[in-house]
Amino acid sequence: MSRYKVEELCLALAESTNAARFKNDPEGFMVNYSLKDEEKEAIQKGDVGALYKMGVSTQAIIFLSRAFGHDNATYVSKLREAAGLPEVKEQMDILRKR
Amino acid sequence: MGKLVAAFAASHAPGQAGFPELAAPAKKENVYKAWAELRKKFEGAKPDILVGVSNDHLQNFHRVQPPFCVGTAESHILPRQAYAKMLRLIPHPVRGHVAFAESLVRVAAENGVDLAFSEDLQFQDEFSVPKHFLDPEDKVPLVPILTNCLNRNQPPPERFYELGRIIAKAIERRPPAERIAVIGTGGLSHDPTGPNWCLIDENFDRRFLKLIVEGDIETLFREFTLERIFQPGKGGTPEVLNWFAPLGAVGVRTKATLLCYEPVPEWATGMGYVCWELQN
Repeated sequence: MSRYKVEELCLALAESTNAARFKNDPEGFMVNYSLKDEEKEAIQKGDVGALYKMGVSTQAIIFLSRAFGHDNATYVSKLREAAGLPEVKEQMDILRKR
Repeated sequence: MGKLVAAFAASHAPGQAGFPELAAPAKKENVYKAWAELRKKFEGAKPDILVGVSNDHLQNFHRVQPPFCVGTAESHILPRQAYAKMLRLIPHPVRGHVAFAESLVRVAAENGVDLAFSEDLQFQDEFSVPKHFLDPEDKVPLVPILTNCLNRNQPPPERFYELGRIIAKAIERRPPAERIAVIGTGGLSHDPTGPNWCLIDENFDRRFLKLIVEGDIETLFREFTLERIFQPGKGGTPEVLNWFAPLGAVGVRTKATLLCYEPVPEWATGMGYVCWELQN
């Protein structure tokens, strides 16, 4: 996979104008990144768990999650599910408050 | 020769500046007391320059990733605008020190260590938070060194320790009256953006701090490999690599004091503060 390209795309979503462009036209936004089909599918669905399993840096995935409007607790829950880790109530409680 | 007059290692977690009220009051007070003590020691040492070693958070480096990059600009904006609200800090210019920064790059090369440099770096909590607590009036110029802790292919601890030794050599080459302080910032265990976000590994933190304070570099290198450092969470724990730099600068025989350790889940980080006792 092109982990670097996926990360570049996700990092670009830190800028609000890019996030808006992506939400408006995800296919068009992804054109210049030369991504594989499974990468495009994961990005279009906001599948942060799939991207985590692909080895994409969470420092980048977080911006895709925010573009999809996930709160931090939902985002971490999806990562932990992908990693095969159990839910930790105290962790979720803190994340929901931030 | 210039003189190393102060050396510290401290957490730079944004919560201590940006959302202190979320922490348990007693923990927040302990952290703030530690910063007050560090500030007292910093001011008492009367440094002319503060050399900071901390990590990029992918805000500067992704297309190209240097292991270490010295900020050689005359002035740095701390923090960048995107982080002003989270940190509750107003972006403002902080003086750099071009002569020291460029000398550091040259001295490093003469000693077999190749450092990148840039006059166009962006900063967030890594230096803004410590500078805010140590030197809120920005009296002392900052020479920032951004490190690769959070991207792939991080240098191992031995390279960060060597960076500290190189900083000490660069200090030796400075004018006799020049006084330099060094701080390594980051850590301790945390995983922001990762699956362990807001989970803290106290065993990891306390063991790391014990060895740092004892200056037990052999055990540190043996136990705190990159693989071990990744375990509490790759999203932030590798920042402890920055702590090896002040240890390398002062040397392992220098006495150190642990001012504070507090696990603060609300700040998502194990918070640690260490001061090395130098003769001024």
